[in-house]
Amino acid sequence: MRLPRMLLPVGAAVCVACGAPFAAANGDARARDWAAGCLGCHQPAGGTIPRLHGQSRDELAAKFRALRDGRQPGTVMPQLAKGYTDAQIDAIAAWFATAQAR
Amino acid sequence: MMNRTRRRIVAAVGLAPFAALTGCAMRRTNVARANVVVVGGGYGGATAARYVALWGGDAVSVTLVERDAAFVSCPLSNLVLGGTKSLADITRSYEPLTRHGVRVVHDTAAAVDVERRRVRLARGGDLPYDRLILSPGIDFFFDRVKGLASEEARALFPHAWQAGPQTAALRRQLEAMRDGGVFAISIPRSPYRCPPGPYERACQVAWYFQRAKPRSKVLILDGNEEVQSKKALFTKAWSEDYKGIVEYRPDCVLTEVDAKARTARFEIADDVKADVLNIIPPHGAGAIARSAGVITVNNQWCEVDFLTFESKKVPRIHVLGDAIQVAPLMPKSGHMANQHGKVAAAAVLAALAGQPPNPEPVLNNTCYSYITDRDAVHVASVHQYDAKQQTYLTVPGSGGLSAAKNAREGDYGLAWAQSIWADMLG
Repeated sequence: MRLPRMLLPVGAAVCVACGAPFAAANGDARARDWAAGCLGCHQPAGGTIPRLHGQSRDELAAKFRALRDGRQPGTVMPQLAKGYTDAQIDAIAAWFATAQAR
Repeated sequence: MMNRTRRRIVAAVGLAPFAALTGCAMRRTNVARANVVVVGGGYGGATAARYVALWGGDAVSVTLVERDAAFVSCPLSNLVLGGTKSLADITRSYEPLTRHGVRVVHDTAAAVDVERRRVRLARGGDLPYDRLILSPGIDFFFDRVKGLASEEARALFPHAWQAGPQTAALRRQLEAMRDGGVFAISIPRSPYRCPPGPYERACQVAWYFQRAKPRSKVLILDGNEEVQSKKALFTKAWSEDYKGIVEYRPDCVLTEVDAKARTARFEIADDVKADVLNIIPPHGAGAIARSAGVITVNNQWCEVDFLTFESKKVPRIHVLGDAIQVAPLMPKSGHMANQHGKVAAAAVLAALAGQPPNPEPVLNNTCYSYITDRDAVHVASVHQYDAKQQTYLTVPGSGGLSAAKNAREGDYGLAWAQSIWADMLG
Protein backbone atom coordinates (compact mmCIF):
# COMPACT_ATOMS: atom_id res chain seq x y z
CA MET A 1 0.00 0.00 0.00
CA ARG A 2 1.39 3.38 -0.90
CA LEU A 3 1.61 6.19 1.62
CA PRO A 4 -0.40 9.36 1.16
CA ARG A 5 1.65 11.25 -1.38
CA MET A 6 2.12 14.54 0.40
CA LEU A 7 2.99 13.10 3.78
CA LEU A 8 6.31 11.79 2.54
CA PRO A 9 8.17 15.01 1.79
CA VAL A 10 6.68 16.79 4.79
CA GLY A 11 7.60 13.92 7.08
CA ALA A 12 11.11 13.93 5.71
CA ALA A 13 11.53 17.67 6.21
CA VAL A 14 10.31 17.63 9.79
CA CYS A 15 12.43 14.57 10.44
CA VAL A 16 15.60 16.53 9.69
CA ALA A 17 14.56 19.37 11.94
CA CYS A 18 13.23 17.60 14.99
CA GLY A 19 13.84 13.87 14.97
CA ALA A 20 11.73 10.93 13.95
CA PRO A 21 8.97 10.96 16.59
CA PHE A 22 8.04 14.52 15.66
CA ALA A 23 7.79 13.58 12.02
CA ALA A 24 5.41 10.77 12.83
CA ALA A 25 3.26 12.96 15.01
CA ASN A 26 3.17 15.83 12.53
CA GLY A 27 2.20 13.68 9.58
CA ASP A 28 -0.53 12.13 11.65
CA ALA A 29 -1.77 15.51 12.85
CA ARG A 30 -2.29 16.75 9.32
CA ALA A 31 -4.45 13.77 8.34
CA ARG A 32 -6.16 13.99 11.71
CA ASP A 33 -7.01 17.67 11.16
CA TRP A 34 -8.41 17.07 7.68
CA ALA A 35 -10.44 14.07 8.83
CA ALA A 36 -11.78 16.11 11.76
CA GLY A 37 -13.44 18.35 9.18
CA CYS A 38 -15.67 15.41 8.19
CA LEU A 39 -16.78 14.59 11.74
CA GLY A 40 -19.26 17.45 12.04
CA CYS A 41 -21.55 15.32 9.85
CA HIS A 42 -19.99 11.84 9.82
CA GLN A 43 -20.07 10.70 13.44
CA PRO A 44 -18.88 7.22 14.41
CA ALA A 45 -22.44 6.28 15.44
CA GLY A 46 -23.54 6.56 11.80
CA GLY A 47 -27.25 6.64 10.90
CA THR A 48 -28.85 8.77 8.18
CA ILE A 49 -25.39 10.16 7.45
CA PRO A 50 -23.04 7.19 6.99
CA ARG A 51 -20.13 6.53 9.32
CA LEU A 52 -16.63 6.62 7.85
CA HIS A 53 -14.80 5.05 10.79
CA GLY A 54 -13.41 1.63 10.08
CA GLN A 55 -13.95 1.63 6.31
CA SER A 56 -10.90 0.42 4.41
CA ARG A 57 -8.65 3.12 3.05
CA ASP A 58 -8.99 2.02 -0.56
CA GLU A 59 -12.76 1.66 -0.37
CA LEU A 60 -13.26 5.08 1.21
CA ALA A 61 -10.84 6.83 -1.15
CA ALA A 62 -12.57 5.20 -4.12
CA LYS A 63 -16.00 6.37 -2.91
CA PHE A 64 -14.66 9.89 -2.32
CA ARG A 65 -13.28 10.00 -5.89
CA ALA A 66 -16.46 8.53 -7.38
CA LEU A 67 -18.45 11.33 -5.73
CA ARG A 68 -15.92 13.92 -6.87
CA ASP A 69 -15.85 12.68 -10.46
CA GLY A 70 -19.61 12.43 -10.84
CA ARG A 71 -19.70 8.65 -10.99
CA GLN A 72 -21.73 8.40 -7.79
CA PRO A 73 -24.75 10.67 -7.29
CA GLY A 74 -25.49 12.44 -4.05
CA THR A 75 -26.65 15.73 -2.55
CA VAL A 76 -23.91 17.55 -0.67
CA MET A 77 -20.97 15.20 -1.12
CA PRO A 78 -20.44 15.47 -4.90
CA GLN A 79 -20.06 19.23 -4.38
CA LEU A 80 -17.82 18.98 -1.30
CA ALA A 81 -15.62 16.21 -2.75
CA LYS A 82 -14.60 18.51 -5.62
CA GLY A 83 -12.91 20.79 -3.07
CA TYR A 84 -10.37 18.24 -1.82
CA THR A 85 -6.99 17.33 -3.34
CA ASP A 86 -5.96 13.76 -4.11
CA ALA A 87 -3.45 13.92 -1.26
CA GLN A 88 -6.14 15.04 1.18
CA ILE A 89 -8.53 12.31 0.01
CA ASP A 90 -5.87 9.64 0.55
CA ALA A 91 -4.85 10.99 3.94
CA ILE A 92 -8.45 11.29 5.15
CA ALA A 93 -9.27 7.77 3.95
CA ALA A 94 -6.18 6.39 5.67
CA TRP A 95 -7.09 8.14 8.93
CA PHE A 96 -10.64 6.76 9.00
CA ALA A 97 -9.41 3.26 8.13
CA THR A 98 -7.56 3.10 11.46
CA ALA A 99 -9.82 5.37 13.49
CA GLN A 100 -11.80 4.10 16.42
CA ALA A 101 -14.80 5.86 17.91
CA ARG A 102 -13.86 8.25 20.66
CA MET B 1 -8.83 6.79 17.37
CA MET B 2 -5.20 5.72 17.11
CA ASN B 3 -3.27 2.65 18.08
CA ARG B 4 -1.53 2.39 21.41
CA THR B 5 2.00 2.77 20.09
CA ARG B 6 1.15 5.88 18.20
CA ARG B 7 -0.70 7.26 21.18
CA ARG B 8 2.47 6.88 23.24
CA ILE B 9 4.51 8.64 20.60
CA VAL B 10 2.09 11.52 20.42
CA ALA B 11 1.94 11.72 24.20
CA ALA B 12 5.72 11.83 24.38
CA VAL B 13 5.92 14.44 21.68
CA GLY B 14 3.29 16.45 23.43
CA LEU B 15 5.01 16.32 26.77
CA ALA B 16 8.56 17.16 25.81
CA PRO B 17 7.86 20.67 24.56
CA PHE B 18 5.60 21.42 27.52
CA ALA B 19 8.45 20.44 29.82
CA ALA B 20 10.71 22.85 27.98
CA LEU B 21 8.04 25.52 28.12
CA THR B 22 7.53 25.32 31.84
CA GLY B 23 11.06 24.42 32.84
CA CYS B 24 9.85 21.25 34.51
CA ALA B 25 11.43 17.83 34.42
CA MET B 26 10.37 15.29 31.84
CA ARG B 27 8.50 13.07 34.26
CA ARG B 28 4.82 13.40 33.63
CA THR B 29 3.93 14.04 37.27
CA ASN B 30 6.23 17.06 37.35
CA VAL B 31 4.98 18.67 34.17
CA ALA B 32 2.58 21.54 34.68
CA ARG B 33 -0.42 21.32 32.43
CA ALA B 34 -0.91 24.17 30.01
CA ASN B 35 -4.09 26.15 30.70
CA VAL B 36 -6.41 26.62 27.77
CA VAL B 37 -9.49 28.73 28.49
CA VAL B 38 -12.36 28.83 26.01
CA VAL B 39 -15.03 31.52 26.29
CA GLY B 40 -18.39 30.73 24.71
CA GLY B 41 -19.92 27.26 24.37
CA GLY B 42 -21.57 27.57 20.97
CA TYR B 43 -20.69 25.75 17.78
CA GLY B 44 -17.16 27.21 17.75
CA GLY B 45 -16.19 27.24 21.43
CA ALA B 46 -17.63 23.90 22.52
CA THR B 47 -15.94 22.25 19.54
CA ALA B 48 -12.60 23.90 20.31
CA ALA B 49 -12.80 22.90 23.98
CA ARG B 50 -13.68 19.31 23.13
CA TYR B 51 -10.88 18.94 20.57
CA VAL B 52 -8.19 20.62 22.68
CA ALA B 53 -9.06 18.15 25.45
CA LEU B 54 -9.23 15.20 23.03
CA TRP B 55 -6.00 15.93 21.21
CA GLY B 56 -4.11 17.50 24.12
CA GLY B 57 -4.84 14.76 26.63
CA ASP B 58 -2.95 15.05 29.91
CA ALA B 59 -0.79 17.90 28.63
CA VAL B 60 -3.58 20.47 28.87
CA SER B 61 -6.20 21.65 31.27
CA VAL B 62 -9.26 22.94 29.38
CA THR B 63 -11.86 25.24 30.91
CA LEU B 64 -14.97 26.34 29.02
CA VAL B 65 -16.72 29.45 30.28
CA GLU B 66 -20.37 29.46 29.22
CA ARG B 67 -23.09 31.84 30.38
CA ASP B 68 -26.09 29.56 29.79
CA ALA B 69 -26.98 26.35 31.63
CA ALA B 70 -27.65 24.46 28.39
CA PHE B 71 -26.80 24.77 24.70
CA VAL B 72 -29.66 25.98 22.49
CA SER B 73 -29.05 25.69 18.75
CA CYS B 74 -29.67 28.58 16.39
CA PRO B 75 -29.76 26.14 13.43
CA LEU B 76 -33.24 24.51 13.46
CA SER B 77 -34.60 27.29 15.70
CA ASN B 78 -36.69 28.60 12.78
CA LEU B 79 -38.59 25.29 12.96
CA VAL B 80 -39.59 26.28 16.50
CA LEU B 81 -41.05 29.48 15.04
CA GLY B 82 -42.86 27.39 12.42
CA GLY B 83 -44.24 25.25 15.24
CA THR B 84 -42.89 21.84 14.19
CA LYS B 85 -40.03 21.68 16.72
CA SER B 86 -39.89 22.63 20.38
CA LEU B 87 -37.09 24.43 22.19
CA ALA B 88 -36.43 21.14 24.01
CA ASP B 89 -35.73 19.52 20.63
CA ILE B 90 -32.86 21.95 19.98
CA THR B 91 -31.45 22.08 23.52
CA ARG B 92 -28.52 19.96 24.71
CA SER B 93 -26.69 19.59 28.02
CA TYR B 94 -23.05 20.57 28.53
CA GLU B 95 -22.64 17.64 30.90
CA PRO B 96 -21.14 15.21 28.32
CA LEU B 97 -18.30 17.67 27.70
CA THR B 98 -17.19 17.29 31.31
CA ARG B 99 -16.78 13.55 30.72
CA HIS B 100 -14.45 14.39 27.82
CA GLY B 101 -12.06 16.26 30.08
CA VAL B 102 -13.46 19.78 29.78
CA ARG B 103 -14.15 21.75 32.93
CA VAL B 104 -17.34 23.72 32.27
CA VAL B 105 -17.81 26.91 34.29
CA HIS B 106 -21.25 28.47 33.98
CA ASP B 107 -20.45 32.14 34.31
CA THR B 108 -19.94 35.18 32.13
CA ALA B 109 -16.44 36.22 31.14
CA ALA B 110 -16.48 39.85 32.26
CA ALA B 111 -13.03 40.97 31.14
CA VAL B 112 -9.69 39.80 29.80
CA ASP B 113 -6.44 40.99 31.38
CA VAL B 114 -4.14 40.59 28.39
CA GLU B 115 -0.98 41.51 30.33
CA ARG B 116 -1.49 39.02 33.14
CA ARG B 117 -3.21 36.50 30.84
CA ARG B 118 -6.29 36.06 32.97
CA VAL B 119 -10.02 35.96 32.29
CA ARG B 120 -12.09 37.67 34.97
CA LEU B 121 -15.43 36.03 35.72
CA ALA B 122 -18.57 38.04 36.43
CA ARG B 123 -19.27 36.18 39.66
CA GLY B 124 -15.71 36.67 40.85
CA GLY B 125 -12.44 34.89 40.37
CA ASP B 126 -9.87 34.73 37.61
CA LEU B 127 -8.91 32.01 35.17
CA PRO B 128 -5.24 32.09 34.11
CA TYR B 129 -4.48 31.04 30.57
CA ASP B 130 -1.54 30.08 28.39
CA ARG B 131 -3.85 30.26 25.38
CA LEU B 132 -7.29 31.84 25.28
CA ILE B 133 -9.92 30.91 22.71
CA LEU B 134 -12.76 33.39 22.32
CA SER B 135 -15.88 32.18 20.58
CA PRO B 136 -18.11 34.98 21.78
CA GLY B 137 -20.81 34.91 19.13
CA ILE B 138 -22.49 38.24 18.53
CA ASP B 139 -23.76 41.22 20.46
CA PHE B 140 -26.28 43.66 19.04
CA PHE B 141 -25.88 47.36 18.33
CA PHE B 142 -29.35 48.31 19.60
CA ASP B 143 -28.37 51.97 19.72
CA ARG B 144 -27.73 52.08 15.96
CA VAL B 145 -31.50 51.91 15.37
CA LYS B 146 -33.38 54.88 16.82
CA GLY B 147 -36.01 53.76 19.32
CA LEU B 148 -34.70 50.21 19.67
CA ALA B 149 -32.52 50.59 22.76
CA SER B 150 -35.37 50.94 25.29
CA GLU B 151 -36.50 47.95 27.34
CA GLU B 152 -40.00 48.33 25.93
CA ALA B 153 -38.84 48.24 22.30
CA ARG B 154 -36.53 45.29 22.88
CA ALA B 155 -39.34 43.31 24.50
CA LEU B 156 -41.76 44.23 21.73
CA PHE B 157 -39.39 43.47 18.85
CA PRO B 158 -37.55 40.23 19.67
CA HIS B 159 -34.58 39.45 17.41
CA ALA B 160 -34.61 35.68 18.05
CA TRP B 161 -31.11 35.73 16.52
CA GLN B 162 -29.77 33.99 19.62
CA ALA B 163 -31.89 30.91 20.24
CA GLY B 164 -33.65 30.41 23.56
CA PRO B 165 -35.98 32.83 25.37
CA GLN B 166 -35.94 35.15 22.34
CA THR B 167 -37.19 32.31 20.12
CA ALA B 168 -39.97 31.51 22.59
CA ALA B 169 -40.95 35.19 22.78
CA LEU B 170 -41.24 35.53 19.01
CA ARG B 171 -43.22 32.29 18.72
CA ARG B 172 -45.68 33.57 21.35
CA GLN B 173 -46.18 36.76 19.33
CA LEU B 174 -46.87 34.74 16.19
CA GLU B 175 -49.39 32.56 18.04
CA ALA B 176 -51.13 35.61 19.50
CA MET B 177 -51.29 37.47 16.17
CA ARG B 178 -54.71 37.88 14.51
CA ASP B 179 -55.43 36.15 11.23
CA GLY B 180 -54.93 38.73 8.50
CA GLY B 181 -51.98 40.27 10.34
CA VAL B 182 -48.51 41.12 9.02
CA PHE B 183 -45.24 39.56 10.20
CA ALA B 184 -42.24 41.61 9.10
CA ILE B 185 -38.58 40.66 9.44
CA SER B 186 -35.82 43.26 9.20
CA ILE B 187 -32.39 42.03 8.01
CA PRO B 188 -29.22 44.02 8.73
CA ARG B 189 -26.53 44.73 6.16
CA SER B 190 -24.12 41.88 5.36
CA PRO B 191 -22.05 40.39 6.81
CA TYR B 192 -24.44 39.16 9.49
CA ARG B 193 -24.88 35.87 11.39
CA CYS B 194 -26.38 33.07 9.25
CA PRO B 195 -26.90 34.52 5.75
CA PRO B 196 -29.86 32.26 4.76
CA GLY B 197 -31.47 32.37 8.23
CA PRO B 198 -33.86 35.28 7.72
CA TYR B 199 -35.17 33.83 4.46
CA GLU B 200 -35.67 30.41 6.04
CA ARG B 201 -37.52 32.15 8.87
CA ALA B 202 -39.82 33.83 6.36
CA CYS B 203 -40.60 30.38 4.89
CA GLN B 204 -41.27 28.83 8.29
CA VAL B 205 -43.58 31.63 9.42
CA ALA B 206 -45.37 31.48 6.05
CA TRP B 207 -45.77 27.69 6.47
CA TYR B 208 -47.36 28.30 9.88
CA PHE B 209 -49.62 31.05 8.54
CA GLN B 210 -50.83 28.84 5.67
CA ARG B 211 -52.17 26.40 8.22
CA ALA B 212 -53.16 28.57 11.19
CA LYS B 213 -53.76 32.11 9.87
CA PRO B 214 -54.19 31.86 6.09
CA ARG B 215 -55.07 35.54 5.50
CA SER B 216 -51.80 36.72 7.05
CA LYS B 217 -48.70 38.06 5.30
CA VAL B 218 -44.92 37.81 5.66
CA LEU B 219 -42.87 40.83 4.69
CA ILE B 220 -39.09 40.55 4.27
CA LEU B 221 -37.36 43.90 4.75
CA ASP B 222 -33.82 43.32 3.55
CA GLY B 223 -31.10 45.83 4.41
CA ASN B 224 -29.22 44.49 1.40
CA GLU B 225 -29.82 44.96 -2.30
CA GLU B 226 -30.71 41.32 -2.91
CA VAL B 227 -31.25 37.94 -1.24
CA GLN B 228 -27.92 37.04 0.36
CA SER B 229 -28.00 33.23 0.20
CA LYS B 230 -29.74 30.47 -1.80
CA LYS B 231 -31.43 33.23 -3.77
CA ALA B 232 -32.97 31.17 -6.59
CA LEU B 233 -34.30 28.55 -4.16
CA PHE B 234 -35.88 31.03 -1.76
CA THR B 235 -37.29 33.18 -4.54
CA LYS B 236 -38.94 30.09 -6.02
CA ALA B 237 -40.41 29.14 -2.63
CA TRP B 238 -41.91 32.60 -2.18
CA SER B 239 -43.43 32.68 -5.67
CA GLU B 240 -44.72 29.09 -5.59
CA ASP B 241 -45.09 27.52 -2.11
CA TYR B 242 -45.96 30.82 -0.47
CA LYS B 243 -47.48 32.76 -3.35
CA GLY B 244 -49.55 35.65 -2.04
CA ILE B 245 -48.13 35.29 1.47
CA VAL B 246 -44.46 36.32 1.27
CA GLU B 247 -43.32 39.64 -0.14
CA TYR B 248 -39.63 40.50 -0.49
CA ARG B 249 -38.40 44.12 -0.40
CA PRO B 250 -34.69 44.89 -0.97
CA ASP B 251 -32.82 48.05 0.14
CA CYS B 252 -34.68 48.45 3.43
CA VAL B 253 -31.94 49.83 5.68
CA LEU B 254 -33.58 50.21 9.07
CA THR B 255 -33.04 53.53 10.84
CA GLU B 256 -35.84 53.75 13.41
CA VAL B 257 -38.57 51.78 15.14
CA ASP B 258 -41.66 53.24 16.76
CA ALA B 259 -42.85 50.90 19.52
CA LYS B 260 -46.22 52.64 19.98
CA ALA B 261 -47.09 52.57 16.29
CA ARG B 262 -45.37 49.20 15.68
CA THR B 263 -43.72 50.83 12.73
CA ALA B 264 -40.28 50.46 11.14
CA ARG B 265 -38.63 53.35 9.30
CA PHE B 266 -35.87 53.12 6.71
CA GLU B 267 -33.23 55.21 4.96
CA ILE B 268 -35.20 55.34 1.72
CA ALA B 269 -37.97 52.71 1.67
CA ASP B 270 -41.52 53.44 2.87
CA ASP B 271 -42.48 52.98 6.53
CA VAL B 272 -43.81 49.54 7.46
CA LYS B 273 -46.43 48.88 10.12
CA ALA B 274 -46.59 45.26 11.26
CA ASP B 275 -48.44 43.20 13.85
CA VAL B 276 -45.28 41.25 14.63
CA LEU B 277 -42.05 43.06 13.90
CA ASN B 278 -38.93 40.89 14.08
CA ILE B 279 -35.91 43.17 14.09
CA ILE B 280 -32.50 41.55 13.63
CA PRO B 281 -30.37 44.50 14.73
CA PRO B 282 -26.94 45.22 13.30
CA HIS B 283 -24.40 43.20 15.27
CA GLY B 284 -20.74 42.44 15.76
CA ALA B 285 -18.38 40.27 17.80
CA GLY B 286 -19.57 39.51 21.35
CA ALA B 287 -18.67 41.93 24.13
CA ILE B 288 -15.74 39.98 25.59
CA ALA B 289 -13.89 40.49 22.29
CA ARG B 290 -14.02 44.22 22.97
CA SER B 291 -12.58 43.78 26.46
CA ALA B 292 -9.79 41.63 25.04
CA GLY B 293 -9.02 44.28 22.41
CA VAL B 294 -9.30 41.88 19.48
CA ILE B 295 -11.96 43.76 17.48
CA THR B 296 -10.07 45.31 14.56
CA VAL B 297 -12.50 45.87 11.67
CA ASN B 298 -15.17 48.56 11.62
CA ASN B 299 -15.47 48.34 15.41
CA GLN B 300 -17.35 45.13 14.64
CA TRP B 301 -15.30 42.03 13.73
CA CYS B 302 -11.98 40.41 14.71
CA GLU B 303 -9.19 39.79 12.21
CA VAL B 304 -7.35 36.51 12.72
CA ASP B 305 -4.37 34.69 11.24
CA PHE B 306 -6.26 32.05 9.28
CA LEU B 307 -3.63 29.35 9.87
CA THR B 308 -4.19 29.46 13.62
CA PHE B 309 -7.20 31.73 14.27
CA GLU B 310 -4.91 33.73 16.55
CA SER B 311 -5.90 37.38 16.78
CA LYS B 312 -3.91 39.66 14.47
CA LYS B 313 -3.74 42.15 17.29
CA VAL B 314 -3.33 40.30 20.59
CA PRO B 315 -1.00 37.30 20.88
CA ARG B 316 -2.16 34.07 22.56
CA ILE B 317 -5.83 34.91 21.97
CA HIS B 318 -7.63 32.94 19.25
CA VAL B 319 -11.03 34.03 17.93
CA LEU B 320 -13.60 31.80 16.27
CA GLY B 321 -17.00 31.71 14.69
CA ASP B 322 -19.34 34.56 13.85
CA ALA B 323 -17.07 37.08 15.63
CA ILE B 324 -14.30 37.01 13.03
CA GLN B 325 -13.71 39.06 9.92
CA VAL B 326 -14.44 36.31 7.43
CA ALA B 327 -12.45 35.19 4.40
CA PRO B 328 -14.04 35.70 0.95
CA LEU B 329 -17.29 33.70 0.59
CA MET B 330 -16.95 32.27 4.09
CA PRO B 331 -20.37 32.28 5.79
CA LYS B 332 -20.97 33.08 9.43
CA SER B 333 -22.55 29.70 10.14
CA GLY B 334 -22.59 27.19 12.98
CA HIS B 335 -21.01 24.54 10.76
CA MET B 336 -18.21 26.94 9.84
CA ALA B 337 -17.64 27.80 13.52
CA ASN B 338 -17.30 24.07 14.26
CA GLN B 339 -14.65 23.91 11.52
CA HIS B 340 -12.84 26.97 12.94
CA GLY B 341 -12.85 25.26 16.34
CA LYS B 342 -10.91 22.26 15.11
CA VAL B 343 -8.28 24.25 13.21
CA ALA B 344 -7.84 26.49 16.26
CA ALA B 345 -7.63 23.49 18.64
CA ALA B 346 -4.85 21.94 16.56
CA ALA B 347 -3.03 25.27 16.26
CA VAL B 348 -3.25 25.98 19.99
CA LEU B 349 -1.77 22.58 20.82
CA ALA B 350 0.96 23.02 18.21
CA ALA B 351 1.83 26.44 19.63
CA LEU B 352 1.96 25.10 23.19
CA ALA B 353 4.26 22.34 21.97
CA GLY B 354 6.48 24.86 20.18
CA GLN B 355 5.61 23.40 16.80
CA PRO B 356 4.38 25.07 13.60
CA PRO B 357 0.68 24.76 12.79
CA ASN B 358 -0.68 22.54 10.03
CA PRO B 359 0.28 24.66 6.98
CA GLU B 360 -2.65 23.44 4.87
CA PRO B 361 -5.90 23.66 6.82
CA VAL B 362 -9.13 23.10 4.92
CA LEU B 363 -12.64 24.06 5.98
CA ASN B 364 -15.97 22.92 4.64
CA ASN B 365 -19.46 24.29 5.07
CA THR B 366 -22.83 22.61 4.77
CA CYS B 367 -25.97 24.51 5.59
CA TYR B 368 -29.56 23.29 5.31
CA SER B 369 -32.55 25.63 5.17
CA TYR B 370 -36.10 24.38 5.63
CA ILE B 371 -38.56 25.58 3.02
CA THR B 372 -41.47 23.65 4.58
CA ASP B 373 -41.71 21.50 7.71
CA ARG B 374 -40.02 18.63 5.88
CA ASP B 375 -38.36 19.87 2.70
CA ALA B 376 -34.95 21.49 2.84
CA VAL B 377 -32.31 22.93 0.51
CA HIS B 378 -28.57 23.14 1.07
CA VAL B 379 -25.58 25.26 0.25
CA ALA B 380 -22.12 23.68 0.49
CA SER B 381 -18.57 24.95 0.04
CA VAL B 382 -14.92 24.00 0.57
CA HIS B 383 -12.35 26.57 1.69
CA GLN B 384 -8.66 25.73 1.22
CA TYR B 385 -5.97 27.84 2.88
CA ASP B 386 -3.97 29.84 0.33
CA ALA B 387 -0.46 30.47 1.64
CA LYS B 388 0.27 33.32 -0.78
CA GLN B 389 -2.84 35.31 0.07
CA GLN B 390 -2.93 34.08 3.69
CA THR B 391 -6.64 33.49 3.55
CA TYR B 392 -9.12 30.76 2.67
CA LEU B 393 -10.33 30.53 -0.91
CA THR B 394 -13.22 28.44 -2.17
CA VAL B 395 -12.13 25.80 -4.66
CA PRO B 396 -13.34 26.59 -8.19
CA GLY B 397 -15.92 24.04 -9.33
CA SER B 398 -16.65 22.82 -5.80
CA GLY B 399 -19.65 23.56 -3.62
CA GLY B 400 -23.10 24.56 -4.73
CA LEU B 401 -26.81 24.44 -4.03
CA SER B 402 -29.61 21.88 -4.09
CA ALA B 403 -31.40 21.65 -7.43
CA ALA B 404 -34.75 21.97 -5.64
CA LYS B 405 -36.26 21.54 -2.19
CA ASN B 406 -36.61 17.91 -1.16
CA ALA B 407 -37.56 15.72 1.79
CA ARG B 408 -34.34 13.71 1.69
CA GLU B 409 -32.32 16.79 2.54
CA GLY B 410 -34.89 17.61 5.20
CA ASP B 411 -33.86 14.32 6.83
CA TYR B 412 -30.19 15.12 6.30
CA GLY B 413 -30.62 18.49 7.97
CA LEU B 414 -31.98 16.88 11.13
CA ALA B 415 -29.25 14.23 11.03
CA TRP B 416 -26.64 16.95 10.54
CA ALA B 417 -27.82 18.63 13.74
CA GLN B 418 -27.62 15.42 15.77
CA SER B 419 -24.13 14.75 14.40
CA ILE B 420 -22.66 18.18 14.96
CA TRP B 421 -24.12 18.42 18.48
CA ALA B 422 -22.47 15.07 19.26
CA ASP B 423 -19.23 16.31 17.67
CA MET B 424 -19.09 19.47 19.77
CA LEU B 425 -20.61 18.30 23.05
CA GLY B 426 -19.88 14.58 23.08
